[in-house]
Amino acid sequence: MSENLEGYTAVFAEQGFSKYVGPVWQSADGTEFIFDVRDIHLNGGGTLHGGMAMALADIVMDRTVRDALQDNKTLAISLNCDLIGPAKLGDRIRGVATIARRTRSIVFISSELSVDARIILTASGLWKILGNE
Amino acid sequence: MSGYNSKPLPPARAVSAPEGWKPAEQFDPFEAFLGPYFERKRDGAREFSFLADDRHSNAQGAVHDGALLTFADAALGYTLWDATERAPCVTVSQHSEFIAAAQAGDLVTCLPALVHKTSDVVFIRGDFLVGTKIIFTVSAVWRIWPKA
Repeated sequence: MSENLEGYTAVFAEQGFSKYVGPVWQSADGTEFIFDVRDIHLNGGGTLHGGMAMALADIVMDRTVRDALQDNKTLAISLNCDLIGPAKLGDRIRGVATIARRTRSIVFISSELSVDARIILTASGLWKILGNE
Repeated sequence: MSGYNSKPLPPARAVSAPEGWKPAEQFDPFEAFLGPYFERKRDGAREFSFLADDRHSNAQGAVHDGALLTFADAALGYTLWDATERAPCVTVSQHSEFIAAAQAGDLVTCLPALVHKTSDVVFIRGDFLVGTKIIFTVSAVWRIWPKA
């Protein structure tokens, strides 16, 4: 289904939800994510579904946390999303995430999704680090 | 807001409704892509559910955050529609807490609670259960454009 995007790798593309709704592309240096809005991703009003927008933020942040903590299992425990503006069919969404702090048990992370120069979603989240209790 | 799709969409996969549930009409392509979702009457309101399968899973075999976030957006949206005669509406902000994992085969249920409605904003929340165990909870702010 997905042609290749040069310089990018599809994340979590082996199975399940991320494969089914994807691809979500990650740049070679890991800092940038790309997602193209297709017809399956829309709501009944013809814009990107809020659930998919939040799911995309979750995937961008989850991949960023896992890349930063390669030896630890982690999982999201909290995610706050502000849906600032719409995206439409054919839009190319860019995602970036920033880890603010990592403690022994929690990663504090935020992310931003944008279409061209327009921000469509900002998010912040907490990821739990397992095995460090 | 331009016209919203008013024609129910078939779910991407045929899944039999669990006993006591019936399919909820789906109008958003992305919800139909992950559907069907189910509904039943409870205390005069609609309670919603979906049966988790491989489309909703992560690499560990648990239900993916994104599948829960999408089902939450759908369930809260249905409840908001029921309270506003299908006023056009969008999610503005959602706080989500992932409390425990659900697995493929689990029936995830939610009876959303409309907390407060103003002329243009609705505060709404939902607890998501597998059986009697809470696995996920959200509180959200939606913007509505009530019909005159």
